[in-house]
Formats: sequence, C-alpha cells, structure tokens
Amino acid sequence: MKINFLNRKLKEETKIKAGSNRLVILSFSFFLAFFLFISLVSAIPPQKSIAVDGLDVRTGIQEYVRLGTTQDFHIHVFNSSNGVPIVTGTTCYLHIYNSTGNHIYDGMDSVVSHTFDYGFTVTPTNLTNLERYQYITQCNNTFGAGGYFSGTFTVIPESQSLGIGFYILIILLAYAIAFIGFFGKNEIITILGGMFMMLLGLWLVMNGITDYRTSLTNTVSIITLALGAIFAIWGSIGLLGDDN
Amino acid sequence: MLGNIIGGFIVILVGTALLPTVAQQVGTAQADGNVTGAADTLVGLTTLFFALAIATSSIGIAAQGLRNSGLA
Repeated sequence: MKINFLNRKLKEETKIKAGSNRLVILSFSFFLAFFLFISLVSAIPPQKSIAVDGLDVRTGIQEYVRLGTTQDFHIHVFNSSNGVPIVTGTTCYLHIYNSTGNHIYDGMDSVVSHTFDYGFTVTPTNLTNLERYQYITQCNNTFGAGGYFSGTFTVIPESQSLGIGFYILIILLAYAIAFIGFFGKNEIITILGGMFMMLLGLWLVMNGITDYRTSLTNTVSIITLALGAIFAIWGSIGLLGDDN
Repeated sequence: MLGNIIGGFIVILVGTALLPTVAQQVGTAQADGNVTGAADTLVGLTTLFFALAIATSSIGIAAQGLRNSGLA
C-alpha cells in the first residue's frame, strides 16, 4: 500500500518536473525569438548640402504619407549666402527610391507656383507599397550654384480598418487557447488551438499586420504557423496514446 | 471518455470543414510570392500538417474506443 503511494507520488513528481522543463524550454525559445525581432537599423536623418555660396534647398515632405493618396511635394530654394528666396533661373529635381533602391519617381520643375514653390505631383501608382522610401531633391541655377536635400518618408495604410488592437487580441487569443490546451494537457483544446494558429499564421502571411507586410510580420506568421502545426500534431499524438 | 469522443468529433468536423479553405489559402499565399525559401516550403506544408492532425485525431478517437471496449 505504502509502496503504491510512494510510486504514485514519484510519478506525479516526475510529471511536474517534465512539465516545468518543457515550460522553461518554451519560455527560452520565446525570449530568443523576441530578441531576434529587435531591429538593429534605424532611418538615416535628413541631409542637406553645406555649400556657402550655393543653394539652400528645403522640402515640406512629411515623415508619413498615406497609401493611395496623391502627394504634392514642394521645394523652396534660398541663396545659402544671404537667405534670399530664389524663384527664377533655377531648376529643381525630385527622385524617389524604394526600400530596395529601385528608382520609382523622377520629376523636374523650373517654374515656381504659389510664389515660392517648385512642385512635384506623386500619384498613388508611384507609392504602391507600405515601406520606407528615400528621396533626394536637388536644384541648380544657370550661374553654376546648386544644393540638395535628402531624407526618407514612410508610406502608412490608407485607413485603419482593423486596428493593431484587433491583431494583438486575435494573436493572443490563438496563442492562449493553444498554450492552455498544451500545458493543461487537454489534447482536444491543443489540437483546436493549433489549427487556429495555423489558420492565423496563413492569414498573417497573406495580409500582414495592419496591412504591413515586412520580414518581421512574415517571421511572426511563420512562427505562428509552425507552432500551430507542432501543437496540433502533438495534441493528436497525445490523443492517440491517451488511456482515459 | 465521452468528452474525448465529442471533442474528437468537433476536431474532425472543424478540421475537414476548414481543410479546403486552408489548401486554397496556401496556394494563394505561395502564388503571392511574399515569402520565399524555407518559409515558402513551410507554408506549402501547412495543408499536410493540418490534414495529419485531423487524421491522427481520428485514429486516436477510434483507438480509444476500441481500447475501452476491450478490442485493442
């Protein structure tokens, strides 16, 4: 009787130990994955020409631009030696590049509008992706003076139809169901949670998170998909060996 | 035991209902070209994993039933 009790106690202790080991391994994997998500790159600050007797170029390009909108970018040009606005005899250029360095827009304007503006109209067909774009504006006049201004801007979603809160909620829900099933040793919940995670991962691969489809969202999607597959298979194998 | 059988049937029903959707979405995701390399291969294997989970669950439910009735 006592031996049976001790055996049962030993089995329970071994089960608890195995469960906590599994928890430690999974927690470590998640921490490792989150550390990998930390971006080590940041945007380059805007740069401008520093010629004393050249042209001082300034733009009103915003840091964030909505997808699917026509943008009117403007440039003002000043004489860098005395600060006087220049409105004649000057030609300005605007070039835009995407995140892979491809040339996606180039424009030229030599006639000012609204008294001081050298303007460029960038249509939605030019800015088709949600990513960071690089631009460079340069102006030169007929007397051999010139100047430039370069920077970056980011194209953001047209509208926030599904906010980030929705994505966080749905991702947490999928993970919570699968983890509760997995650690609560309920095979059916584990399988259903795993399937939910697989579907979610697949959906995130195609749609991204709040319309953003970057390598980060792809990584999250693939990890969700893979974990879902592992949970679903693990749960169904557990069901196979269940003696209840 | 009864809970497991009901749960198993829910898994099978939900799984088989969603399997064509999963297969279709996998095809769309792969054709999209957003993911490449190993990630693309994993996306392609999703249907297999999904089907495998349903199949193993079905076998598990059947095995449990047989075991409890003393036939296995």
